[in-house]
Amino acid sequence: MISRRHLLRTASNGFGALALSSLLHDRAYAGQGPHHPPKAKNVIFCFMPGGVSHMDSFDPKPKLAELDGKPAVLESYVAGPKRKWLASPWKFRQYGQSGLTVSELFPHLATVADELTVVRSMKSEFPLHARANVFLHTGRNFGGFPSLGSWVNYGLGSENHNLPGYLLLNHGDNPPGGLENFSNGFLPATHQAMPVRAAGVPVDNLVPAAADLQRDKLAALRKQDERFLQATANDQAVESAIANLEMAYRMQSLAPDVLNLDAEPASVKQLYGLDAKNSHQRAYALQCLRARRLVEAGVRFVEITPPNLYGGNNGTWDQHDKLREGHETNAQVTDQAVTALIKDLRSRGMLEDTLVLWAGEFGRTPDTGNGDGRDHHPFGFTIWMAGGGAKAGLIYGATDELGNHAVENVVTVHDLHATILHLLGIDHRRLTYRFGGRDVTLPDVHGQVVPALVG
Amino acid sequence: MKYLLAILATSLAAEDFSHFESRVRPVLASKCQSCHGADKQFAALRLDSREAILQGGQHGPAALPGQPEASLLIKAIKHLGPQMPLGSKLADAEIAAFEEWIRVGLPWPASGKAAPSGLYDKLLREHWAYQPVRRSALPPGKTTNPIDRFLPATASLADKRVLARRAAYVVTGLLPRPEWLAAYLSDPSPKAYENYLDTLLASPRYGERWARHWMDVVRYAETYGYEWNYEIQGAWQYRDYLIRSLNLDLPYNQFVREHIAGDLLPAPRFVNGNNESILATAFYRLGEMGHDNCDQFREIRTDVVDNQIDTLSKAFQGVTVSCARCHDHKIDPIPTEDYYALYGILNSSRPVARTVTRPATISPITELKAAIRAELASAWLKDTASIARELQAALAARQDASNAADLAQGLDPARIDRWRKLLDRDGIDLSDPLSVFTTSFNYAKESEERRAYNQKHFTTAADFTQGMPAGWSIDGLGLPGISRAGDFAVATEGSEAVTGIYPAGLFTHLVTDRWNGTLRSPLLPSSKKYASFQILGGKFAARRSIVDNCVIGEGNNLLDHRDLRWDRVSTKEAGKFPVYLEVNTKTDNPRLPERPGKFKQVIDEGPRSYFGVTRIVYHDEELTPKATLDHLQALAANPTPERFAAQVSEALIAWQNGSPTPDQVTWLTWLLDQGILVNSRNLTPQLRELTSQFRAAEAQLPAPTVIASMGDFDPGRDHPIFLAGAATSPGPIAPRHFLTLMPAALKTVSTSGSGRRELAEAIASPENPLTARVMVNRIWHHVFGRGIVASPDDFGRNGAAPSHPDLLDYLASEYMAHGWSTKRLLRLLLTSQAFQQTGYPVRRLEAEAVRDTLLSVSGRLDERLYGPSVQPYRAEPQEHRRLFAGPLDGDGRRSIYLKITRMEGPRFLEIFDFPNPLQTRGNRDVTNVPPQALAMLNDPFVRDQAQQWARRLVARKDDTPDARLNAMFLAAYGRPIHAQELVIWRDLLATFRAQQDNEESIWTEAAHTIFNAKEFLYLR
Repeated sequence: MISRRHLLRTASNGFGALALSSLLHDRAYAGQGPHHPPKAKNVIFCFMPGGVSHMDSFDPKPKLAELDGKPAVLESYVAGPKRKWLASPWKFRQYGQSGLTVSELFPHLATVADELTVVRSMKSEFPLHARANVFLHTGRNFGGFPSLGSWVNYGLGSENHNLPGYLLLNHGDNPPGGLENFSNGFLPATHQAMPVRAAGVPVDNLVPAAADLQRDKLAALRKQDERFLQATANDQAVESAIANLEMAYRMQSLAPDVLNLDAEPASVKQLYGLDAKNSHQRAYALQCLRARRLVEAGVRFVEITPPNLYGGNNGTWDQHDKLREGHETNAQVTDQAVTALIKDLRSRGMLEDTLVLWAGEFGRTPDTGNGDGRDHHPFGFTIWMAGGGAKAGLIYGATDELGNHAVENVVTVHDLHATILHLLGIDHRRLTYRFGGRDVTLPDVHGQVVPALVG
Repeated sequence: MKYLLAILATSLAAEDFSHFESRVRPVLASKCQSCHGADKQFAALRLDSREAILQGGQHGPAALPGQPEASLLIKAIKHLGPQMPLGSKLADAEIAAFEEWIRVGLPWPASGKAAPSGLYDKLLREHWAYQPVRRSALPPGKTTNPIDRFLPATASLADKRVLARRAAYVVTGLLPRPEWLAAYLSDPSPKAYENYLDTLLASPRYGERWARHWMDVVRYAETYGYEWNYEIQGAWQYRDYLIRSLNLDLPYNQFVREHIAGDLLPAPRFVNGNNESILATAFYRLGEMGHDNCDQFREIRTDVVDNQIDTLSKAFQGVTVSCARCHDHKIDPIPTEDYYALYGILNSSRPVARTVTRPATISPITELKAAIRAELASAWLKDTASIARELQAALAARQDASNAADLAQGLDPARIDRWRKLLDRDGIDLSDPLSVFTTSFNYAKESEERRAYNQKHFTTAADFTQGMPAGWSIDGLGLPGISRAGDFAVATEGSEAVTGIYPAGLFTHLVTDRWNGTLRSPLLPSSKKYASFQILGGKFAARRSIVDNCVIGEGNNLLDHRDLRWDRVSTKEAGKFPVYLEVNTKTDNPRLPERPGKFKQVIDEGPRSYFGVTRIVYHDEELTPKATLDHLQALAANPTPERFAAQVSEALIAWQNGSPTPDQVTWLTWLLDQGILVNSRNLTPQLRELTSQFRAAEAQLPAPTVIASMGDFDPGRDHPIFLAGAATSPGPIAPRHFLTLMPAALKTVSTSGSGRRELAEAIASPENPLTARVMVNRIWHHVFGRGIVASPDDFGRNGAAPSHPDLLDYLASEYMAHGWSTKRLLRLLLTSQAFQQTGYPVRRLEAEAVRDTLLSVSGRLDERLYGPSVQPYRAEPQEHRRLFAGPLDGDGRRSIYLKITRMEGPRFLEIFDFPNPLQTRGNRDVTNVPPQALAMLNDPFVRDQAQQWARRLVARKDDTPDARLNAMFLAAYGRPIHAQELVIWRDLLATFRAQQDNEESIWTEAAHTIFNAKEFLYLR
């Protein structure tokens, strides 16, 4: 049986059937890895910028209810005399075989509790958005280094030569740190994220200008370029540029095809929430469903950011105040679609080799300065993974009884990177690129694979 | 097994610290040393050196070499007994790493010393790049161009048109102008090609092209990026500096000196009234920078200096010194101590804003001010002639005296009423002259008490009424020095005559409030808790504290009062960090423009802003100095309305004559504040006329150019080595010096100053083995697409070896021998056979060349040189991040004039591998990705240029389609159309015609197709 995935991957309705496949397999598309048999082939990263509160989502802290309103003693950069402990405004319940405790913020995710690998002992190093975002993506706190998605593509190469291997599904704006979060750094530009917007035209320059003339132009260009190719003694760069034009041409039709959801059955659209009343929820659902289709088409790494509804410049989950309203809205916008993504991948048999990662740059403080919100908290927070060889139904690590420091089985951002690469069949110490006189790796000299997280 | 371990132990301990550096030291630094390090020693234990670990703490030695199982450290981290670190157990792998490390004997490199010194010595002796440049003899041969002796020609000469296009792109980044090409093609002389090169090299387009190459090297951007994109002050002025320097062929060694220490040169260059040498130092400041406070976030500062060290060492020396931030360089002979020796040099200079504009002549302003003073003084004298009687009447009325009505006879009741109101004010301070009539006090006692109080609680930090104290510095056109008592500022808007009359001190607006000023303190003493300023200011002038040189930190206090007041600032960080205070007018403040929404008020775009400072004191309590009473001595001795009036007229006459005493100025200021001296430019018709003339003259004064630069204001400070790169673990001090790998004569720097001046000379020295080689190689790289050393930013062992070492050294010595002339070297390269032959490597045009050629072919190119940058086109501007949108075609300006906003550069350029401006990038990527083809096919900018071109083509109505096609080929590819090509394009035109009937549309499509051919994008 020829799968839809296979079809999409080989589809070529290009104008001239130049035998270009060999050209396309140039270095830019071939990877370094894998180093060992992979469990996952693709990654979908649901980035939650601003910092989701761990003790209000997946890491309940009943002790906070006892101490609610009492003066807080917290060793933190925000520590101050007027701070008070803040109980979670949401109720928690246990779900699934794993008994994962989930707050009422995420009723949909609760239904897939047994698919999740929840890490309650994440630790980052920076309590500021831009720095922590770039750190979560690149393992460095300043720009100029390649993002996880770029490393993965550099390591494994692309499975679809008609689409870039790292796509960023966003809503037109980027979280603090900007495009640095999604940069190829010093890796070849082939590995940079291509942004795909939810609203309007999804990709720059994808809509053909004077579409009805394009075929004729390209036919003429083929002849013209052939002459130039001869004049350069069949220079390889020129040859690949000609091939590149063909790929671009095909992308114009293939990319919209992959991004277009018309062919999806109504039931699938409903599953994701494309019929939701809230337009932001629909926009996020659209990106989640697109993510599945892109992975299906062989795109290696898809990152999805949520619509920026709060936090202005700082990421939508950044509830220094109005915790209740902000977190409820953000959860409502994302919960159903992320859950649907897991269910949909599972029902298509794609969850085994697709790793879904859900993470923000840090968590939030167990105390409050103004009684209405929580502040940045990198010392202990929660992320989760699903599929892709991660150990399903696992609750790993713990923060202390107040949700302050990660105290048990601490997982650093570097460890997380090493583990994700490991699931993809890559040894983080061997995936290197020589730059600035060093063989650079994603986690630098840090990071250890966390074997317990591997299923 | 034991035997094997023994071997392992020897080999590890002898040479290899990599296990320690990568697996052990990071854990020690991040998880142990905060409690067992330099700051704290719980259980009397330190874990920050091998000796300290072996010595141990109150429980005995922490480790026994070779015996991990017996070592306390291992027991603790395994939770067999004490459980360490507090909070969380180490990962199994980390514990295993410690066991392994102790098993092999705790190898720990001696801090600050070149660890593998044997290896370093060997490298210093043997690695080619560290050896002196040796001019080798020319290989034998007949060719005149020396390069051809090293690289004998292998192919025939390229076609003249191909060569013309190639040379024009290399030199100017554009196709040759038609007239240049025509002159070259028709020049029969054997010098035709050289003449053509001379034309190209003389074109200002050359500077624009090559400046951009250098901008990649110095990670040029115009904003600090991070979250809010604060502007790097005057960054574009640095870009213009580069263009000018290249076009006038500034010797490269001078270019180097100006970059590294342009602010310290004894004889700086001036161009157009600007100190050109200082402009170059902006290069230090072009990197990324965070805005938060670095007392909390240490890395904001340490990362800035790291980036400066990285950029400086790669750009000029092709060495990767930053690799030695955390440990001795593994590959090249660069000990960590070298890194912190450089850190000390750069950190001894402050990253400040500097005014590069030379003070202008202000004679008309000075004359007008004198006339205004004379006119105002006489108007005020006249207006205050009867104040003794008025005051007397008011005092009588206030006391309900019987003669009150008589005294008021013949006087203006409104004026008497005004005096009564002044007398009836609540809480009049004793320093207020009217207090002598409203309060009874012992002048001598009170005066002495105030003086004693001030002396007891405050230490004078600076008294600008007396002069400039040592350590304090001023900058800006508005602050040439201490002003004289009684100087004043003419109001530049509104109905007032003056903004104020001032005591001696520092006032930025005495000529115009369009001029800038900055006052800087020395580094603050750690012994005092507060500093208080006697200060005034407005229009977004600010008083700022700068902690650890984080110049866009949060310590920003806006000034908004025109009278001198005491303003207190806490200086508590001074014990832990270098801290200094600054007062800035708007243009000098690197935090302005602020991020949107930070201020309630909207900042206007204009430059107007001002401040004045007279005194600064240090103190320990939350107190304010008391006003002294010296100015009331005479009045207090004789508290009568007559004496009061005499004080006023004496003060006015002294002011009129230009030499009031400080006490008289206190009177004048008070009189003006109370409205007794009427502050109006409409007092007399003559005054109105004079102030109008003043305002007209003031508006003509040149605006200052202010740039982000460097300045040496403090004694040089050696910096400690940060163990494992962690700012929280300071180790031994690294004395300032230049790299160990340099010849001995170049290593020493001044101990009193920062050392930048000597650093500049060491890099600009002909004895430096790297400077000329690195630059010659950069030039070669841009001419041939690949350097003689293929890694232009890394001449170390990890970099590529030179393909032709003798040639590189020959060219480097030629470069130095001929005045470091870049144009001369370029000419040498371009006249070589290697450049002129057919085998020249094919390469894609750079992003800027693609965009600039589109503009030039379409006829849209605006050839203006210099100026503020144009915002790039953005489909979705994000104004909250200061990512503003500009016109689609960038106003037709060359790409070098597009604003480079860190975090999101010009989209169109980024598609074609425009580099991220974060690190030195001497070697751009050349990728081949679909967005490039999509941009050429569909980007609105490309379409727009096709249409502009078509419009011009169609306007020439008489051209036949064939002639038009030929003209298009000439314009876009620099050659006529071939007969076989004519067939292709005639066919294509016919297809267009079948679907379109508008001539402009048809030719737009043809133009667009021409742009999409590979010949347009590739250089051969």
